[in-house]
Amino acid sequence: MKKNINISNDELLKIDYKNSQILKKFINENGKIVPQRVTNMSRSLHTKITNSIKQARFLSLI
Amino acid sequence: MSNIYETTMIVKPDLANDQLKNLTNSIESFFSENNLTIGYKEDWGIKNLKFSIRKYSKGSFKFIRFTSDTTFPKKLDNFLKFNSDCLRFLIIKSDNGLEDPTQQINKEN
Repeated sequence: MKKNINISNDELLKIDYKNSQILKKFINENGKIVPQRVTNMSRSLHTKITNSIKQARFLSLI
Repeated sequence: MSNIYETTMIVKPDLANDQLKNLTNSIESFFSENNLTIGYKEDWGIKNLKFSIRKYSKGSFKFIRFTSDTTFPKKLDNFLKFNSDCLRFLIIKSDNGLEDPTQQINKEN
């Protein structure tokens, strides 16, 4: 099942470990990262998302 | 070659004013020993942690951005590792400009 994520192009440029509200869109209710085949993101964007989610987890922001 | 780096630190929430001043002074003096200045500073306040770190459920967050050569971040890493007031820290290369504000300042908790 493809998931529809409401996200604008401006927000995609601002993906960062400090921006926890945007990162929460790519996490399910158990706190797991949603896979790329579900979100339909490009390879380069998905690596950026996963790296910043892991940095935010380390600082316990998510 | 110089880059822009940024660090976020989680400091113990129950520090007295004198201890906080000591910590900030020691960090600033460490920068000046290496002939550098802190470019941009932010205080995110005390936040609830999502999991406990060293038996603390809250932590006060500090944010610093600076320009330096490539050898200095390793020295700063070694300096913060042996600081007992600092619970956790992250040093990474920054994609943003030196004085761009972050989204975390205005947020509560």
